[in-house]
Amino acid sequence: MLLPALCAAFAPLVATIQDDEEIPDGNTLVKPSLLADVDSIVAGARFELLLRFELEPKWHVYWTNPGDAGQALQAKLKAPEGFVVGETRHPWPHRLDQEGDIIAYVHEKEVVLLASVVAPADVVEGRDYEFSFDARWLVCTELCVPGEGKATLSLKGAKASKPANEALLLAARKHLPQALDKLPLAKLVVEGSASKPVLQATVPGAQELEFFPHLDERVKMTGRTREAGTSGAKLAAEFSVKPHKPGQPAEEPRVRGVLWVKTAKGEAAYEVALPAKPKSP
Amino acid sequence: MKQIHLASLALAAFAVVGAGTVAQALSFEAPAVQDRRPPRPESPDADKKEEKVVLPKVADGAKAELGKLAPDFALKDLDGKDVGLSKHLGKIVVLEWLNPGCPYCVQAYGENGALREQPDRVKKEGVVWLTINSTEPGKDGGKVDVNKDFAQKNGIKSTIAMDPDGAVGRAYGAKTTPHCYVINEKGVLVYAGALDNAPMGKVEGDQKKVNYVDAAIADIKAGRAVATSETKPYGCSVKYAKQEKREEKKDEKKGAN
Repeated sequence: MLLPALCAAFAPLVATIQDDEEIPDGNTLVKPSLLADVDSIVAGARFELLLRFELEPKWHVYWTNPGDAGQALQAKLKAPEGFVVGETRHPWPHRLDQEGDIIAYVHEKEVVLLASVVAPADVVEGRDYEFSFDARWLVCTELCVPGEGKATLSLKGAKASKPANEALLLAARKHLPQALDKLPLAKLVVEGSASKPVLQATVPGAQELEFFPHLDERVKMTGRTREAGTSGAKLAAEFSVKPHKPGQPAEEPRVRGVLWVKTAKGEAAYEVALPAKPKSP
Repeated sequence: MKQIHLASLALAAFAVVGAGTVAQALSFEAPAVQDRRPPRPESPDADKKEEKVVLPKVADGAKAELGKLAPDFALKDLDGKDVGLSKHLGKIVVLEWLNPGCPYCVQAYGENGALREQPDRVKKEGVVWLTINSTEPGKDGGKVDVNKDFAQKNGIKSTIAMDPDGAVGRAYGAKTTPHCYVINEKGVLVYAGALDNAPMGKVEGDQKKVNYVDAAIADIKAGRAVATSETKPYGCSVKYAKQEKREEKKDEKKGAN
């Protein structure tokens, strides 16, 4: 008598757990939205579009180089005819080490991509201009689910515009990798051999360094070691270079990626692209 | 979402308790004794000419390396039968990593997916297709029952071998599901990487679809060197069980700092 009564009492709980264990919808775990740093469009003016992705807590999406697993977040931006859209810029990721020496480069919580746009000279005052992007992602925690979404933004043509979304733009810009010459104290050299080059980075004043390699058919990062002391931090990133194959670009192989630097003042990242061939002594 | 997380936690706790039992049932103290001899040649002359190939063993710490003999292993399939590599010497062998909870595998084995027909098709050509699951038994897709259901639902006839402690996956450097490997008749690893250039069945831009495993098999059969011997695998990360030794090392490192 007691058992059926207990089963009946717990039945709703069991049903809830079973229902909730269904695979989450990848389309709703990531919320895409499109914003601009202006409230309207002025003929010939440059402005920024912000492709924002807000993630559910504990889930992550992947950087342009997803690492050993995953799939890069992809967004295809559309603008009205006559608008010139620049390259979409991605913030630096963070490294996620998983069991089995699996290294992934991911974004958590929120990702904001930036794209510069130049309006044509014939923008009509009062007219609506629609921008949009289609995006695809793989969003993961213990499990992975694919998802896709779309976001649109309508801006009116005007004589003058006011700034918009300033705080978000500032934060997004802060997380974009900068040119390496913005880090003048750093010393970066390629050592090792032509097939196994090693990037040696020394940054005085740094507390911690990390290197996020860009996707490259020929040059692949195989490992990295890091050291930090009172005077600064060092990083040695090892690469392997595959021989050139017919049909591949004939460019010299390069060690390419983003060097992340943490100092007492905060963090920043810098684009690195050095010939993979070690300089002869 | 909160509900999902709470429920997941409850089930995860339940699964962790249960995982020990499943792992125990699947683990093995010593590798099952298998016939590691190559197929016996028919004539005594042939016996003299053919060198006996002995594959290195995962149990001895062997790691997979392109161009070298593939490490042998001793796993169990979903019915508890022994699965190894050396008994297939003389045949081309494909190893494919699976997690039924991974959308890439679900797509590949689903309607119009590449793996819906490929294992059966190449088996008819004399190729051995072994699917390996290195997912921790407590995690999504690592349970035998889940794999049995997945095999039944998708009409999978090839062997699914469970690697609950992840030793074989780690030895091969399997990073994703589906990560694929092709081993030639002589037991040499000749391909490692993606199944094809179409994650979730989609190629990028206007590229032509290429199945790298099919291409490697065709090269071996034609007596050619495998043209594309390595590609970047795509998919979900393999959800390995934690390695106790590694954790200890990390702790030591922390202590030293």
